[in-house]
Amino acid sequence: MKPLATLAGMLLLALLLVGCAARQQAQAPQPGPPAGQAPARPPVARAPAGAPPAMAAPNPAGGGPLDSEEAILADLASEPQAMTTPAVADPLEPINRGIFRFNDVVYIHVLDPAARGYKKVVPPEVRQGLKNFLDNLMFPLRMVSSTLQGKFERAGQETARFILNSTLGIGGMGDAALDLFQIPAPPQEDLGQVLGAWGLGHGFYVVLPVMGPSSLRDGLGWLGGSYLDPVWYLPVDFWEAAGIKSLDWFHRYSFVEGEYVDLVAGAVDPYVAVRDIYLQYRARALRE
Amino acid sequence: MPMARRIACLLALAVLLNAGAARAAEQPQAVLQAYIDKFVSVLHDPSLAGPAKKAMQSERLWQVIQGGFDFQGIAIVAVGANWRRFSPAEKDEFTQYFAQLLRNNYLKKIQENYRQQQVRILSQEIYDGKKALIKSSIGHPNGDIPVDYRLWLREGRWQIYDVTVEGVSLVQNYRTQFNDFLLKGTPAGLVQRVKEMVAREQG
Repeated sequence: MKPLATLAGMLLLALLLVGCAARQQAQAPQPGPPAGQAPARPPVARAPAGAPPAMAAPNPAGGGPLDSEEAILADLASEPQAMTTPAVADPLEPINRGIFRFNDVVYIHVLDPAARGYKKVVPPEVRQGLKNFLDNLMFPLRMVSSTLQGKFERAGQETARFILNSTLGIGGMGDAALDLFQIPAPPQEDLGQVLGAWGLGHGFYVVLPVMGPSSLRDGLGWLGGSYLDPVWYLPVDFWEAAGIKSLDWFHRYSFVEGEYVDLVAGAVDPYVAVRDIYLQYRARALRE
Repeated sequence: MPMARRIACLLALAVLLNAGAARAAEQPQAVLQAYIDKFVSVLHDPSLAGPAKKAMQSERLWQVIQGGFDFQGIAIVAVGANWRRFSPAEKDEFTQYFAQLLRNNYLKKIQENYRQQQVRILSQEIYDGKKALIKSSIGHPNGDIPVDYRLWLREGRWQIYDVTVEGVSLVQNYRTQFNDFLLKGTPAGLVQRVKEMVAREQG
């Protein structure tokens, strides 16, 4: 009796083990032909073009659903919104490209060298304090933008940061809100995003001299935003205010000196690359 | 009698649990974490530190990257539907030179700018068991940088096919440029252009 029971037990174990192995096989598809990354591999059409969408059947044994080129392309086609920047018209492309080339020269040969000189004279701690101060000044715009988009929590966050930093942060030079109260800066809101949140599309793409990529909607937003910019309400004349604004802009630029060159270094078409980066970035800012 | 059966059950259970663990180890998040750890360990390797060792460090980093990134797949999704217009020879050349372009552009920058930043993996989402989106955050004094990785299961393992920084996807950015180019140009012209860019960097 005993040996029979032992044999039965071992048989049961063997059956269970076989069952396990079979399940493992189905979960981890066998590696495809070893020449996966090697050059000169002829395209293997496992699925015809226009194959059924991504919701495929369980993994076929011996071969993943994305292994072949056609499978990848079919998968891409089945999700057109995935990894595609929403198209924005560029009717001014010839003009835009011209301004883009102009900006290229200005960034690399005028602004970057000037910013490097500026950075040598003004140490980073002071520049960070100044940046915080200027960010604090722009609070009204961000608060209004957040509120208009219904992002009340964000508006509250901005208000809290403004009050804390103005009182505890030496008039906005330090970031007490972050350091002491862990209230981080929420994503920057501006009127271009307000218009976007209300459903307005970009209109068309525009490259502004020196200011860089923008769009009809964002440009209008920027103009509207200047009404909430304290600089224009200072008791100075227009040109002095413009001078202050330019300095502020240049000071912010000093933080990103050299990044334009890095940005376009790997681009096959720098103009299109920057346009795409701008549109992706704005699309994401809108989503948040 | 009951003893033998009990042992058999326990052993079977142990085998089943083991199988489950093996499946969990193939989670894309774990795979990505392993690559990040390997990458960072090369950056921290004291025998590769210093300007004299830059080239060797670059070589080692590139080996790690090649293990984690699916450059063949990246080339295909970066070109998109236009890929079908390429001849097999053009496909191979393009894949090879595009990978080199990405290496020239990004590896050097990472090497130069690495200052012990922490990479924190925040979340993982898996789609249909074959694609994954992993969100991470890279620590930075001026504010953390959100970086998303897209991985897919190809040829039995999870590989990276796109990186999104601050909401800007690398593959998407190149696809926009390539689509624009291929509206007026040919695949051969695009291959030529990428070759020229790589040659310029090397020169």
